[in-house]
Amino acid sequence: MRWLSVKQNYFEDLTIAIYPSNLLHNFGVNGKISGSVYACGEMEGVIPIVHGPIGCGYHYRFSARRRHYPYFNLISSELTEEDIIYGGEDKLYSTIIDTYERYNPKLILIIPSPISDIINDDIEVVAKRAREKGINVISIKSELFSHRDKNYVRKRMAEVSKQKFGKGKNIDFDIMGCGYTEALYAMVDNVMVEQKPIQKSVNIETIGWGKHGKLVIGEVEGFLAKAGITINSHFPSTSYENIVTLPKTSLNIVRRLRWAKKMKEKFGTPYLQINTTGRYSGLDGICNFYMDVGKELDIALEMEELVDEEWRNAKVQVENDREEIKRHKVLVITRNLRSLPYLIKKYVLDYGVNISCCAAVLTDQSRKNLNIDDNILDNLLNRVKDSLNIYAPNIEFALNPDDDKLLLMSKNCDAIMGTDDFYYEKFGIPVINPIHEDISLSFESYIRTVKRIRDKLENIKNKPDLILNYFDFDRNNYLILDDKNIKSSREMWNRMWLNRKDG
Amino acid sequence: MKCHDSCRLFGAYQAISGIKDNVVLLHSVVGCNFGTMGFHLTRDMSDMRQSCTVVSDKNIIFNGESSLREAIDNAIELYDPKSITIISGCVSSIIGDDIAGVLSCYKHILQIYYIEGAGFKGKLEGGYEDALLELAKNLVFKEDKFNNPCINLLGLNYDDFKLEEDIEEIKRILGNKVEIICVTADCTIEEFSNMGKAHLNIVFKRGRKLAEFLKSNNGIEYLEMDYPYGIKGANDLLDAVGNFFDIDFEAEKNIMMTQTLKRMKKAYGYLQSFYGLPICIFGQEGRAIGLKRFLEEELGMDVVCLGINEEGFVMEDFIEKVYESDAALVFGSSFEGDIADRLEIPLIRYHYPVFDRISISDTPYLGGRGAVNIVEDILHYVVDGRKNKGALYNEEDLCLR
Repeated sequence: MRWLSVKQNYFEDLTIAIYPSNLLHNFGVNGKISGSVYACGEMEGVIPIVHGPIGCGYHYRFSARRRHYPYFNLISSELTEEDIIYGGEDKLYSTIIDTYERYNPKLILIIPSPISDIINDDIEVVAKRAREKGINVISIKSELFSHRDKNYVRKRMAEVSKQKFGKGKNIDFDIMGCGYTEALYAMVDNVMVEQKPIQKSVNIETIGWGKHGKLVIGEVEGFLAKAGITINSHFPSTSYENIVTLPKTSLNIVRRLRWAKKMKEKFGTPYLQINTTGRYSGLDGICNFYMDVGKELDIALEMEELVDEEWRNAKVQVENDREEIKRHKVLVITRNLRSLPYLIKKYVLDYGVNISCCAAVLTDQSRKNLNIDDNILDNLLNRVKDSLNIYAPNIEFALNPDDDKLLLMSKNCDAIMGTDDFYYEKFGIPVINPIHEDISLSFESYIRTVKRIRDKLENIKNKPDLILNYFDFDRNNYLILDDKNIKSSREMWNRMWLNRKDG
Repeated sequence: MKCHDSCRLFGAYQAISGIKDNVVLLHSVVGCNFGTMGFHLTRDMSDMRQSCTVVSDKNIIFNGESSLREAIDNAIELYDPKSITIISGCVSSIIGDDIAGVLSCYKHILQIYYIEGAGFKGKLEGGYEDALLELAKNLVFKEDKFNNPCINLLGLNYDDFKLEEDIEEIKRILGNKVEIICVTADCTIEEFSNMGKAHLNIVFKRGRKLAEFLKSNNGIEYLEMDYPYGIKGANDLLDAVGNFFDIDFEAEKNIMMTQTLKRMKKAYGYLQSFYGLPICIFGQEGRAIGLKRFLEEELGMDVVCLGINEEGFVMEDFIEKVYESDAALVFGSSFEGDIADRLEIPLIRYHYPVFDRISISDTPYLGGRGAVNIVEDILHYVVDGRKNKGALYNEEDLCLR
């Protein structure tokens, strides 16, 4: 029953949203342990041991990243003061033995903590000792001391800004020290075994598929099957046994890079890194994705035929919807200047949106946090102009308009799109939350989204009585309240981490 | 082992974070900040008064004192707080930062407190006890006693599930006969200093060191008791306070009994299904024992597994016992969700940390009103349970009938 599955996917989104990750990240980031625990939690038959004091083992049972089921089965070596002084290796060894006897897992994965890193316990020697007893145990190597690389987003912003709109290739996506990639890397390095690759077979990395991710992965797999492509395995969301034979594939479709590079180096497995911006954005992006898979698997011609057919089919299916969408004038507002050129393209080209005006909000604080100097800003604005020239020429674009200006811009519009900032409901026209746009890498997601946009434009109403709008939110950061302590905690975080030269 | 307990840092945070005009500054790595914050913000998103010095690899080499100074300077500028409490973590302890030395430079600017929270030095309860004591030692308590009977409440935690509602409920049942001067989990620095003006401390099996301190320094007696769940729990509290001050609470007790029974009567058929029902409970001593008494003596359930979070407790052994039992309900923290899910029975969250339920309605768990709310919640959890343990037929397509 299709309607049922779609409803369940909105529910899946809700369970993710209910975990207040976005709010928490205004005031901190989690330690590297969380990423490793998350990765491990996706693997069936694998149990993690955090080599650290009891508090780490306690709170990482929750504050890792699996939002839909937040109770991780996590073991701790419970380091005490004596272990800090004399070394925690014996404690770790006894924890491994105890874990093996209690849970009999297929694999034990040891996750280092900043504490075990400082006291310099030789975790690998302990793991080897346990392996000699017949216990399958491996360890993760720390890439960074405590937490992820904070400059990643800035570097990416600077790189993207240099690219002309529509040109340039996808920029690698990988964050050092987040713990997740380290865990996957350890699996490649220690668990996977050389296999004869099966032709036209792929592995799919399961993280970061965004809204309705589970549904979209299924749809992508359905299309790949039409091209005779089989799924060898998901990763890391699979069993220990499947991870061992992951090299049986002829292509890894990946989100994070380093583990894929390691697999290429060790087993010769090629990889294709994907995301849903840039080259893989919108309907063209879906076609690009399948064409790239086809090229990698040496079936470019067959794939082109299939993609062409599906593309035409999708166009026919949304033809009427696009016509209806065009009848509505839309004000586009966004805080994401980097993605705005592709947002414009997607709205006009893919959905048929009639953009009447366009506004971008870039606060001074965001500029500082993202390290956007005048040069980068010029480049970003030029990309927006280039996109507007192609897809929505002659419309008004404003950077950081005040409320009066926005009110004026919204005057002849039927709706606001591009933002989930409920504040704009005050302008008297409905805001269509991007929650309804789940266009991803499946043709089905494209069709679904266009139909939803039509439905929303025809039926959605302005919400002047929104309870949220009775609270004062910080207009610099609409995720937090305009409260002195809350804003101070945010600014503390900016100063002590984000904008600090070291650390 | 699977951790049933946390470290000193979390205990210290629990003890201090409820002081509203104080800023908590964790001198530690990011994970300690995120972890404590994760248990707090899921309960109350509108109150955020903590930050972190973000101890980095450079601090490991050159020490973390400069980061601590920088963070304190920033905190003073941004929050303009009445006081700051520094809770140090494992890393700063290992590298031997001279925290007291750093803080001495700020003593003339504002009240600044320091609590050693290194996780390898002890567990949550130790951190909680020591933090309250440390704070007390650094405060000057006002000793002029109030004329009216006054008490303090010790042993609560700012991130306890239903904290505010339960405090309000205690105030309600005490009426205007006894005044609460300070609840350490929800107060200001001034209210904390005013503890010395009270005549009696009620200690819910936590905060004993502070109670002892106040007894020896300020002559305040204390009474230790389990958390007052149910009618009987509330009556015990009223009796204890009443005996101490020689106050008659019979009228209040009768009103509570009448009001509670009036509501309970509407669900008497459901209450019959609780009679003899096997259940399991996990939690900290005062909470778990108090709840056990209520569920057994007032609702008639049979507690077949009781896990008390204390020294020597092994979570895995407790879980095994629960799995082997016929328990129909689990009472615990959010973490016991995995036990409940495996057994396909409901989890009733009552104990820290509760990160997957919120309580923003006026629904305490304490006392007679709390008894009604607990009963209501149990029934809703049971009815909402999607899985039919031991069902005789497949119900997958139920909605098609």
